Amino acid sequence: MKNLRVALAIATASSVAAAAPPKPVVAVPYYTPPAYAQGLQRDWLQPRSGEFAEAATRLAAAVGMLCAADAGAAATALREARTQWAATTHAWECLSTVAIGPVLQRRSARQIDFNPTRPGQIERTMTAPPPDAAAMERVGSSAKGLPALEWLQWTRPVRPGTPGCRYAALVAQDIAREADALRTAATAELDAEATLGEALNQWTGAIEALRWRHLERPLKSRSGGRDAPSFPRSASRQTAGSWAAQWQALRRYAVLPGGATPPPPGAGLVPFETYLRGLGLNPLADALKRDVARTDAAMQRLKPGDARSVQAAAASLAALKRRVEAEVAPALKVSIGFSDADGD
Amino acid sequence: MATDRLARRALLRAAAALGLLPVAAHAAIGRGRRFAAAWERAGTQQLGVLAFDGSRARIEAAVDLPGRAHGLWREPDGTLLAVARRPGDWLLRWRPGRSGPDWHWAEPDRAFTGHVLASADGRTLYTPETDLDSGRGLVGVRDAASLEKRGEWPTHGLDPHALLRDAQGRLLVANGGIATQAESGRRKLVQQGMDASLVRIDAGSGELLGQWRLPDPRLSIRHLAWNPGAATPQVGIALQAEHDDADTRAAAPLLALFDGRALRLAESRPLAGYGGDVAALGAGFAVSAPRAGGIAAWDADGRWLGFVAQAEACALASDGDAGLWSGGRRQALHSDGSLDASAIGLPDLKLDNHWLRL
Repeated sequence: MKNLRVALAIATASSVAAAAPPKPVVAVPYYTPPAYAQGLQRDWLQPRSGEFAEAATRLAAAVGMLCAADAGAAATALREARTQWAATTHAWECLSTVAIGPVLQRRSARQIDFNPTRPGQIERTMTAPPPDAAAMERVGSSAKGLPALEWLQWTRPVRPGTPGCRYAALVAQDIAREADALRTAATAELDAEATLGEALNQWTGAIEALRWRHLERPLKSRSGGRDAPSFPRSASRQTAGSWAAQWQALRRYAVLPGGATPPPPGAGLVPFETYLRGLGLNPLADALKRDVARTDAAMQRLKPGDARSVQAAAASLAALKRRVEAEVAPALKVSIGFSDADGD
Repeated sequence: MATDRLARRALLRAAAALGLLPVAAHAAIGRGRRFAAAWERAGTQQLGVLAFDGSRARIEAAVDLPGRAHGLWREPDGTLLAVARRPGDWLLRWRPGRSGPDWHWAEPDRAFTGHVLASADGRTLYTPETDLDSGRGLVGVRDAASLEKRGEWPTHGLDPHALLRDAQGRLLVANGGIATQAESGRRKLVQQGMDASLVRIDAGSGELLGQWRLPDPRLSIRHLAWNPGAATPQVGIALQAEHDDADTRAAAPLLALFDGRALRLAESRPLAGYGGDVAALGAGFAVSAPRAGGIAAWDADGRWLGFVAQAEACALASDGDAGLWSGGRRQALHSDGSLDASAIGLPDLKLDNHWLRL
C-alpha cells in the first residue's frame, strides 16, 4: 500500500549530548493526506468531541441543579456549576483551538464562544428568558455561549429560582445541544485530500489567535496602558488554564508527546513534525521541534499578571508561526492563506 | 552594480515608451524624498518613514506593530493612519517622531480589510470592513477626529479592499470578492465562488450608484489608482488571480481599466497573476508584479509598454507629473528621467505592498 510504501525516514537524535544514552532509532512511516485525515478524525476529533459533549451535559445538569437549589444549598450548587463550566471550557478549547471539520463547518465558535460577551444584551434577555430551545436560537451570539455563562456565574452570579437562573440554564442547554451535534458530526469522514492543508492553515491561524487576540492585544488595548489587561476568561480566573489548554492542543498537532512513538498511518493524529520525518525531512522536523520546545518553555512561564511573560510567550509563538509558514507549509505542499509572506 | 544599471536602462526604455524620455541624470534624485511605509525588519513588523539622501535611504522613524500593516493614509498635518492587513482588528494613528501611536479597534463583529481613505473635506474616514457574521463587505464611516464609527454602508460585495475618490467625489470600492469566515480567517474560501466587483457609491449617503464586474470571476479586484492625466481620466485597477490551476493563474491579466462607464481588461502578459500595487505613470499605469520580479507598464489605452525587472517590486508611488517610485528588495527605482546612475539603496527590510510619498 502507498501508506506503507516507505519506512526509510528515521527519527534521528540530532542533538544528543555525548554523555546521554543513545536514543532509540525509530522508523517513521510515510504518511499521506488521506492517512492524516483518518488519524485526525479517529484519534483527535472523535474523542475530543465526545469529551466536550460529556462535559457540556454535566454542565447543563449542574446549572439546572443550581436553579432548583434551596437557599442552603445554593452556594454549593454554584461552586459545582462553576467547576463544570471550567471543565466544559477546557474540553471545548482542546477541541476547537484548531477549528477544523465540524467545528469549522458548523461555525460552532460563533455559536457558543463569542467574545466579548455583551452584558447589556444578557441583562435584557434574562429578564424575559426565551421559552424554549427554538426561541433560544434567535438570541444573539454575544448573549449566550460559554462567555455569557461565565458572566452569569461569576460577574453577576444568578440565584436559584430567578429568571436569570432560568436563562443561565437555557444557555447551558444550548451549549450542550451544540456539543452533542459536534459529537454526532465527528463520525463523518473528513475530506481525505484537503484535511492536512486545512489543519495546517487553521493551526497557523490558532497560533496567531493565541498570540494576538488572547495575549498581546489585551495588553495593548489597556486604556492608557495602565489598567489591568482584560484577558479572556478573566472573570472566572481561568485565563491561565485557557492559555494552557490552547497551547496543549496546538502542541499536540505539532509534535509527538514525550515518549510516544509515531502512529501507524491512519491510526493516530500525526504531528507535523512526524509527518515531516516520514518525508525524510529530519532537519526541518528538528527545527520545528526546537521551536515548539522554546514556546513550551515560554508558555510554562506565562502568568496573566506578568506582562513580560506575556510578551515573551507572544514572541515565541510568532517565531513558531514564521517557521511553519515559511518552511513547514511549503515542505508539506500546503498553501497558507493570508500568510505573512503573502501579498494582499 | 550591473544589475542596477540594466534595471535602470529597462526602466528608462519603458519610461521612454511612455514619453518620459530622460533629460539628465544627477546624483541627488532622492535627496529630501520621504516615504511612509510598512515593512518587516528582522522579524518585526513596523510602520515608519524612509528618508532618502542621495543614493541611499535611511529609517527616519519607526514604530513596532503587532502584525502587518497594509493601507496607509496621510492626514494634512502629517499624521499617518495605518490599517492592519485583512482580516485585521486595528487601525492606528501616528505622528512620526512625536508620541507613540494611538490604537483603535474594530468592533467584535467586524474586521478591517486593509485600507482607509479620507473624505474630500477631511472630516470623515472610510474604512472597508467585513461583517464577520454574514461575510458581507461594508464601508465603515468614521469621524476623522475621533475615529469613532458613525455608520456603515454595504459595499454590495465581499472582501472590500481599496477605496478611491473619483473626480466627482464619489467613492469607488474594490470588492475583492473572496469569501472568508471569522472561523477560517486564514483560508480563502474561493471554492465557494468569487464575486469581485467595482462599485461606485455616494460618499455622503452610501447609495449604490453603479457596479461593474469583469468576465472572469476569479480575478480579484484589489487596488485602485486614479489618473487624471489621460485624455479620458480613468482608474487603473490592479488584479490578483485566484484560479485553482497554476498555469491559468500565472497567465492571468494584472490590469483593468475603468473610464467611469465600463470596466475592461488591459493587454495581458504572463506575470504570475499577482498585481501588488498600481500607480499612474504618464497617461497610463504601472502595476507592480512582485512574483514576476518587476514593474509592468501600460499606456492609457491598455496597450502593453514594457516590464522593468526589480526584485520584490511592490510599493509604487506616482511622483509629480510623470514620475514613478517603486520599492523593492533593498532598492528603490525612480522613472522620471533624472534617475541616478545607481538605484537608491534601501535598508534591509521587506516592504509591504504600498508606500506614500510624503
